[in-house]
Amino acid sequence: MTRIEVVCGFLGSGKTTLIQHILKQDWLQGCRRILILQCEEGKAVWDDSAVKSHSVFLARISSLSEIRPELFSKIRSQLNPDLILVEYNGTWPIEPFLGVRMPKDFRMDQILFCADVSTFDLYWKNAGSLMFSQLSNADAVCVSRCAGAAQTLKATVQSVNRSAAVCMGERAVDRYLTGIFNPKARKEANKWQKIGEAEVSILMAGIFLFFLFLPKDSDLFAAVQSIRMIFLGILIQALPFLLIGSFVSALLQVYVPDEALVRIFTKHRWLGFPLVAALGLVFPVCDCGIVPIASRLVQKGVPLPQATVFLLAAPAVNPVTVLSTLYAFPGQPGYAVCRMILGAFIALAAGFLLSLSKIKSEKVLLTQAAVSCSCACGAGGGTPRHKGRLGRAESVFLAAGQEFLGMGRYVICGSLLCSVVQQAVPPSVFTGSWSAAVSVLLMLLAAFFLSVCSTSNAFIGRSFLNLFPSAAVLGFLVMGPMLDLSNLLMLSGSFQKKFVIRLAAGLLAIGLFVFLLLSMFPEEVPL
Amino acid sequence: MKRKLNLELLAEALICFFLSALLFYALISGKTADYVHPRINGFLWISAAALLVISALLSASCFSPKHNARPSRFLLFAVPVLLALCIPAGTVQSKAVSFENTAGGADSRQKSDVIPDTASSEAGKNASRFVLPGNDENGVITIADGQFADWYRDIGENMNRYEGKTLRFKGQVFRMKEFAKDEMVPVRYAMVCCTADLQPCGILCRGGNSSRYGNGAWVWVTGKIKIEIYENQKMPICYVTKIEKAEKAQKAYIYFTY
Repeated sequence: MTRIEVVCGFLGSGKTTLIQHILKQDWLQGCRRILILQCEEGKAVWDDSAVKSHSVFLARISSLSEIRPELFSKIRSQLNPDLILVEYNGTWPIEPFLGVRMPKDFRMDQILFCADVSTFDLYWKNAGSLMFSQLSNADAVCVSRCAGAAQTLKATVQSVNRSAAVCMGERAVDRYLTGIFNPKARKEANKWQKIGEAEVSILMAGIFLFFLFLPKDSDLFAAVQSIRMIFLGILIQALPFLLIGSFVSALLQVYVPDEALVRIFTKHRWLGFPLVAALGLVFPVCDCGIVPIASRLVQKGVPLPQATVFLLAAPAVNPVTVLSTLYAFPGQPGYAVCRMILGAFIALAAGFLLSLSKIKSEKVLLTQAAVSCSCACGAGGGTPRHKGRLGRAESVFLAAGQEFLGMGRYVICGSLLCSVVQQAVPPSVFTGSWSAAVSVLLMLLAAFFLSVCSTSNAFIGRSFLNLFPSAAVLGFLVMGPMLDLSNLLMLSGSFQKKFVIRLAAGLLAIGLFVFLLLSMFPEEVPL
Repeated sequence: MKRKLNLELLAEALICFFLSALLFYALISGKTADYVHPRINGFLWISAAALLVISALLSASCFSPKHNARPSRFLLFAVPVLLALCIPAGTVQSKAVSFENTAGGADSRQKSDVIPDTASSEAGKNASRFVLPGNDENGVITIADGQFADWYRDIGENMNRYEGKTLRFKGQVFRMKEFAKDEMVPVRYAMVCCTADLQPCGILCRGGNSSRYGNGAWVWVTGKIKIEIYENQKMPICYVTKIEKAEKAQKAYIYFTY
């Protein structure tokens, strides 16, 4: 069997050095013949002393068109090496190479992307789309010299290719190389991976069979059935809203230039925040549709506080929510009014605190670097085939679809948990006479676990009305769309977990404060 | 051969396609009504069409190979599908936040009503909306399946209109711990948004031989309405003269629209 390892990266990023380093290692003793395919004249000079212990052959390739099936069948018939190390040209896209049909026992193994911290940023800014092809396909990023700002490099790699291992420094690179070249370590890793896969599939099959053969008349079956109905109901109900949100986000990405968007949000220094909060009025979307829009806003450069205000206020003030609250509390328009006002207020307070804390959006975003790349290369790699107007429309659909599926995973997790909690937590937990503080806290906790969507939220909240004081129920209504589990999960898809946790904690603190204050004056709440 | 396709994009395209197909199937067969309020059916049609377009475009662009594709990260989308396949569709147990949590409440009845009685003073404008069906020869007013939602709303808002009248209506037997032996509520489950907010709706019935019917059984109840104070709250109570077994209603839920 012949393994092909590809070493790619820009000129001067240390590809030749890495290959020579690999050749020096002891674990290559088992290889009879090694072929090095050089697609680029390296800066580093070949040091023959490094290769004398094996029979190493060197071949040069000068243009991309030479990489064809015939090349590899020729290699197979003439040399039949155990290992082919390809030093790939940094300016060639890698897809043509990946698309080449290989001889039967040739196997593409790893793609290693070499990078130099000192030049990476510059290359990425100027030739991002060239680099994107190689970086997004890499299994590992090897940084041998890591002096300087390695953080941006890490963030960029993460945003383009979340599955790539980032090896900082020679020791990390060595460890990674041992894992892929050392036959012993490789065997061991394969074994563990197989065991892991077997465990997961046995577990899945077990769960599947358990549900399949659950006695139909047991209480558990009835509970599972309820969970299924609620879960599917939430999903079907969230689907159109999530799709609308994804489309708005994709439209913003493709059609609205960054500067124009940022200008809208930052035009007025102080009036800006209330304007952003009012912007939610024009988005008749549930909260799960707001998250992709808000994430896109931050990615396009809208300051974090403004985007957060939008994220938090929109579900509270949008017309769908207001209508549903009016309907859930007939004859008591106070609830809808309070929900709007308090929602906007808490959103503004959170935005204000954020702008005080001066957290930079680059620090909390997972995908900011993709922005600097041209819009043609959506993060998932779907590229439109048409040019011009048609191409743009096509990329809207592609981006919306990928956004939808990306967020959909979090919605599935969140609503599954939510429906399980709704069935599993007995209502008797909530009964009893609580002090004001405890009841507010309980309602905020319920908001975290039970709030499915800002629309049905109102009706679920209503049923708490005779167990808790109205201030606490109002807390559930207002905080539900801001704090709920699936929203936070979705946010963690585009923001760092630390930031999401902080945001949730901050919101919880503000919410507790506001609603405790409200419950002090029960008579003055005009409900 | 397998690397010649971008498996991740292929997985995405397939998921979009199946989602769209499922949505079309559920919409055409009317199964969506079991899960969500018909109000969002329009959105669902549009979503299904959009997903179809997306899946076509995604599958067109999945021919550019990707090395480190991990289509397994879309396995999560199998969870709802498996759950839907393994467990047959059924009913939602009346759950935590609706009918059963009455132990502490003085005004426990309110929970089961989507329309609380506080609304009765203001809701006069709705009064003309529901026209009571005519009596038959015995003076019994029969509420048909399709009228339940409107009737239920109306009796909550203008209960005096029904004082002393004899009604016949259909529902599923529902009991709470606090009920006396001969008390029960024939309920219909009302959906406002989706299955997560289903709430049992009905009026309290007394008397008759209701203990023969287990919880969840479908019954026709005939009885006379009296306005009484129950647990500190003014509400209509039906004194049952006759209970008979009923067919399941055609639509599983009733829907309130706004």
